[in-house]
Formats: sequence, structure tokens, C-alpha cells
Amino acid sequence: MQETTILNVILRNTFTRADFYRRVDFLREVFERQFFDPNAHEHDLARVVRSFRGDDLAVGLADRDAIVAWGEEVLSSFDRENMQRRMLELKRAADALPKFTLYVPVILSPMHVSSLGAWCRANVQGDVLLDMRVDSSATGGCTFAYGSSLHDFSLSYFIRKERPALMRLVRAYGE
Amino acid sequence: MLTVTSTVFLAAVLIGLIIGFIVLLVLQTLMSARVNRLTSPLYEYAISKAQTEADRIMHEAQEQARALLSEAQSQVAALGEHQRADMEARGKEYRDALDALAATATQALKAHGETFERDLDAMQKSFDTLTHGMEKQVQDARAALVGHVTEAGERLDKAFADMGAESRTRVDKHLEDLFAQAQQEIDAYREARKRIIDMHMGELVGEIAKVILRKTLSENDHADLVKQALEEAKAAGAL
Repeated sequence: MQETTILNVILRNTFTRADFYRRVDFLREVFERQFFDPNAHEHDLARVVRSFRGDDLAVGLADRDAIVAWGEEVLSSFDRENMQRRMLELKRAADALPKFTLYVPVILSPMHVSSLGAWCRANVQGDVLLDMRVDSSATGGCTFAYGSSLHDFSLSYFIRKERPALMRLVRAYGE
Repeated sequence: MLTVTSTVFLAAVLIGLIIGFIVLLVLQTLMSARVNRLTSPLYEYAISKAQTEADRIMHEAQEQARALLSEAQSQVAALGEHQRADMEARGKEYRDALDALAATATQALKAHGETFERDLDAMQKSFDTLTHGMEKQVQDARAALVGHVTEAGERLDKAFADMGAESRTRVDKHLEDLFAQAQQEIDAYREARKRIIDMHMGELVGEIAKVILRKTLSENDHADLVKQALEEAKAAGAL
């Protein structure tokens, strides 16, 4: 299986750059245990990944399930000879993908991040990777950087947009 | 006769050689078996000793490898634990700093809001006072003017009766223009003050709304607002 095919499979349920790096690093740790630990006897890598609990390593259950969902074909395409090279190639390929930096007011759950990532893939670019940041000034919407421009669509934008109606309300209240 | 004798002699020599060869072969076989019996335990001992030594070296190497692996795993676990504790400590510092910042911002905003409210009240009172004063002055002026005009009109009616209706109309129009100009100045002043209030009111409403939204909205609400903002951005051509 080629690196491009593996990357496409990974991108099906991986929408942010942080998720990508965390999951690939976790997978490399699993591979190192399986390939270089003489006491490792399990050859079904999906079963090995599934056997980890959330507090075993610095990843959550969502990451574990996402890796299992990549399938045995992807997991079995790695061996002790090609593992390092493939991991490096995958990271280089991910770095070359389009970047969409999204500033949100609070930390969002993996479910919401996936939803936003799917929206961006459908409406911005098919292979875009999100770079999620938390910025409280983006309350009431969001701020994002795409290409070479920063766009503010937070509450400030909507207040500016609805300023006449808002002023009418204030004036009506004042009168 | 000589030929027969030679032949017999040669045959006897040949037979003797064959017998001697056979005897030597038997002796060689016997000697080899004896040597084997004597040397075999020595070989087996040497081989066994070499095998034991090799097993010992292999066992030691395996033990060392296991010890190294165990130590490496312990160090990795300790490092992971240390990093996790460090991350938790940093996260707590970050949350504390955020809470402190939020509290400071809230206090500052509250103080700003109270100050602004006081300024607004003072400005409103000043504005009302000024407006009432101006209106009173205008009304007084109007009343005085009306009185003067009435008095002057009577005198004018009397004095300029011969000037006709056209002149009276011009005087009335001039007075109406004066009243209209005064009223326009009052309206312009009122509008300027309203614009100042509007400008500050918009900023204040925005800041208050941001603080309230951050504290009251759920994560689902925030996520919905983010998606709506992206839809707005797409509709506005930013994407």
C-alpha cells in the first residue's frame, strides 16, 4: 500500500493537524513495541491498538478508535524495515496539505471538531487540515486564517453588520 | 625346471605379501578402534564444555538485554509520568491564569461599565439641562419676540399701514426663518449627542455580550455559532 493511499485513509477521520501527529506518533509507539519487544506475540495490530485503554498512553479513546477504523490493511502495511521511512513520508505529506487555522472561543469536543473539519473539507478544500486554536475574542462565531488572510467573523463582525438595527434598539430604549 | 621354481617362488612371495597386507589391515583396524575408544570421551567432554560455555554466554547476553529493556521501559514510563505531571501542572497554571485574567477583565469591564453608566447619566443630565435651557431660552425669546413682534406689529400696522399686506408677509416670513434656524440648531445638537451615545453604546453592548456569551453558552451552542460564522464567511465570499 502506497503512502498516498495510507494518507487518504487517515484523512477520512482525521481533520486537524494535532490529531494527525498525535495518532501517528501513538501508532509508531505501538509498532515499536510489537516489532522490537521479544515478549510481544500478538500479530493482529488492530487488536493490539484496541487493547489499549485511554489511560495507557497520552491519547484518548477517540484517537484509539480512529486508528482502529483505519483498518488492518493500513496497519499491516508497516513492518520493522519500512516503519520509520513511512512515518516520515506520512508526516511530510501532511505538512504539504493546505492549512486552515481556525480560532474558536472554547475547546471543542472531538465530535464537534470532526463536524467542523468535514464542513471545511466540503466547502473550503477537499484535503484541508485544520489547525485549531482557542481565542476568547472569537466569541459569538470564529476567526480564521486561510491563505494569507485573517478573517474575523466573531460577534464583533455581527455587531458591525447589525449596527443600524442595534442603534435603533438603543435609541428606542433611550427615548 | 628353473622356470617352475621361479614361478613357485614368486607365487609364494605374492601369497606372503597378501597375507602380510591382510595382517597389517587387521592390526590397523584394531588400533583405530582402540584409539577411538581412548579419545572419544575426550572429544565429547570438549564439545560439552564448549556447548555449556556457549549457553552461559547466551544466557548472560539475554539477561543483559532484558535488563536493558526493562530499564529503558522504566525510564520511558518515568519520563511519561513526569511529562504528564508537568503538563497537568502547566494546565493548572494556564487555567488559573485564565481565571485570573477573566476575573480581572470582568472587574475592569464592570468598573468600565459603571464609570460609563455614570458618565452617561451625567452626560444625559447635562444634555437634558442644556436642551431644556435652550428650549426655555428659545421659548422665552419666542415669547419676548412674539410680544415685541405683537407690539411692533401693532405699531407697524399703525405706522406702516400704507405699506400693504406684502410687507407684513415679508416680516412674518423673516421671523419664521429665525425660529426655524434656532430649531435646526437644537436638533443638530441633539443628533450629535445621540451619535456619541450610540458609538459608545455599541462598543459597550459588544463587550458585555462577549463576556455573557462566553460564560453562558454551552459547547454545542459555541460549535453551532462557529459553523454559522463559517457559513456567513462563505456567503460573504471570504472562502
